[in-house]
Amino acid sequence: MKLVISKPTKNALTETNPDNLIYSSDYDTLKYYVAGSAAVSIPTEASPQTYETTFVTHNLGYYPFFVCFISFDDAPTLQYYMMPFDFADFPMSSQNYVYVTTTTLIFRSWNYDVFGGDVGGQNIHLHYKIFRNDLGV
Amino acid sequence: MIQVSISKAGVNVLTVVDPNDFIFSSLYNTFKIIASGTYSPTLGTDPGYNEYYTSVAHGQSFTPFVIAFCKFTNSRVGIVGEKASNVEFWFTNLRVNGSSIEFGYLNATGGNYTPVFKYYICEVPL
Repeated sequence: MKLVISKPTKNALTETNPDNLIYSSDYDTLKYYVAGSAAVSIPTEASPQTYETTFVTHNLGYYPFFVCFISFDDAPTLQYYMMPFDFADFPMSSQNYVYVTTTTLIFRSWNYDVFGGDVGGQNIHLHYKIFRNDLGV
Repeated sequence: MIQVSISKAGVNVLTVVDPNDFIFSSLYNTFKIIASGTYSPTLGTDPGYNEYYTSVAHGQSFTPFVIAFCKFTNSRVGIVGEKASNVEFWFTNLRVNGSSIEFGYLNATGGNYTPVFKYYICEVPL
């Protein structure tokens, strides 16, 4: 037995194109597990740095489907950048990556100022959505 | 038209209007995964830091919306545009056409690299 809801004007009993369906139990969909955000402080250093932190312990026991955005102190709730986020505007550059393991979400940020200035001391706000879907890798 | 809705606990399904208060509502289209798979090629190295593509057939009659992840060999999973955290390997790009999904990579590790790509194919054409 299955459940099918078609788009308006489409016949749910005969429709075979999934793009004409609102929902069909024939197809998997994303299932939320946890969502949230928090500020990650970039250390105050004057040289190239690699900063890494365990951001969320999910403990699902498998690699989950995830999506992340980041924002910055100057506009923490106005501008959201989808991860990964690479930034280069001389003399500064920044690379921000995020990974999952079977237990955690890991945030990795690399920042560099060509002139050795202080690129630290500010917060990056990481906004995450972790789904229950097992990547199966 | 018949409407099917399931609200979150504590919310009246008959009066709710915020989509975030629904577990499911037929008022809104859902994200449908029509196929998925893993692909694990062995990729040769290029010390010149050049980008290459490796591909897998998606088997659809249209160019689909695709999402992909990459499991690096240090057992971390990243997303398109990311570098392995321990070696000079990047999952640089993801592109799709009418027949295949193409995974962009840059392997400057000095040896072969064998990532595991996980891809999801969704119902909506691009």
